[in-house]
Amino acid sequence: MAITALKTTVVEFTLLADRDARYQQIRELFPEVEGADCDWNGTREAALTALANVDAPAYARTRNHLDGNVSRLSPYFRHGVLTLNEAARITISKYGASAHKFVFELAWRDYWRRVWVERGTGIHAPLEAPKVALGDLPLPEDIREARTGLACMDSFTRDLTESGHVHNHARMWFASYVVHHRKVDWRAAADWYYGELLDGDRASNTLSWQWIASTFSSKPYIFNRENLEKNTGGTFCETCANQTSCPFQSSYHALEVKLFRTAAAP
Amino acid sequence: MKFLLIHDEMLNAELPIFEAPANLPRIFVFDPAFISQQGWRRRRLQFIADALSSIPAVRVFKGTLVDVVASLAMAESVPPIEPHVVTQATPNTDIQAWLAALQTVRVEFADVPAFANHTGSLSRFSKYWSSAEAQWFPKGFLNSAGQSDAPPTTKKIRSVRTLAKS
Repeated sequence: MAITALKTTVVEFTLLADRDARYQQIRELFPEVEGADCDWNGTREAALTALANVDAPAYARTRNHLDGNVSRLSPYFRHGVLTLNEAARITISKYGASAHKFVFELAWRDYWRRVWVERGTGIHAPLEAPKVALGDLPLPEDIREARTGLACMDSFTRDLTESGHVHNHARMWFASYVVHHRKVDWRAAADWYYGELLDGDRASNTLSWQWIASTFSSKPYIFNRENLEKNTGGTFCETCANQTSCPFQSSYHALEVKLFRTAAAP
Repeated sequence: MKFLLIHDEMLNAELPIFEAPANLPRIFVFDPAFISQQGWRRRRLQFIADALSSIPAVRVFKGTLVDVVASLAMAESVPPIEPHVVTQATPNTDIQAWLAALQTVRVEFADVPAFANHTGSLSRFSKYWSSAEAQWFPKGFLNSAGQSDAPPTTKKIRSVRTLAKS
């Protein structure tokens, strides 16, 4: 490892060319930073390969399913390794109008950043009055440690903490569970989520939690078991210890009554 | 002494900011205090390291941003002259706060090509998307099987700021 001393508090180092060696180098240089190793190749070359592999029509058809054809580009966008403009340009050039849904989703990322420009640090506070009563509980350990007993939610947490990547639909289900079922303060959950995510972006993450909570949307986002089973193939429910006492086993109307009996003050 | 400061949202040598002036020394700083404040896990640092490995001629440091810039200013010019940092504009208030620690250093934020030219309300995504969609998929495009051959005309976000000198 080539290291040059500048000020005693400054170390210059040359990143090693071999990826495994580079990861070891990071482990040694930052022993205080915890977590699993990266299972994502962050190079520009890998990013371009991933972009070339985007199947926009399949993405439009299947992206909501956990096994669907998703792009896996978000960590690259977050760090500028790919730009939204080049992704849209290349995908439209390849698929024409069939790239519409893909570009629509890219636009969300740009939209969140524009809101960040407009609101600055204000994005960390509710942007609007909540449309339903929200809780202010701290993030419970059973959620953080994947011990809720709900196979789906615990699996989503493991995805987050072990790889730093969670399917977008799973993020929505999880956030809805945390905020509306468990009445956790969305800010506490969003902060934890941001640090764990490989693609953690303050704007996308924080504002998405606000969207779920209804402080930046016209209504709260909720889901039921039917929706989750449909988009997961039912794999979680089959093995869930709480399959007969599932908190999501309900109609949407019944869920609304159960979760939001107390209306938010106007 | 003028540097191109690469922050964690611009890890790509094909970004416009890397084009001119091409001979600016490139630096990236792993700042332990910033990393801790962000709550990042190890995988994030390794991902960043991967991305940096694709960028030619970047000098990588561990230390506080202030100490790194001060060290470089002392090392690169005799007598030391006030450093000047160029970086990419960002709405990222965490990065802005991090840069603000460079109290006496001139920080210049360079343009970023916009994804869409939307100047209206941001109260809901649908309002923004109506602008963006019209630019990426001009009228008639969605009903055709044609191929897009051009991105929307994008104006640049101009944001050059000099942090207050003390």
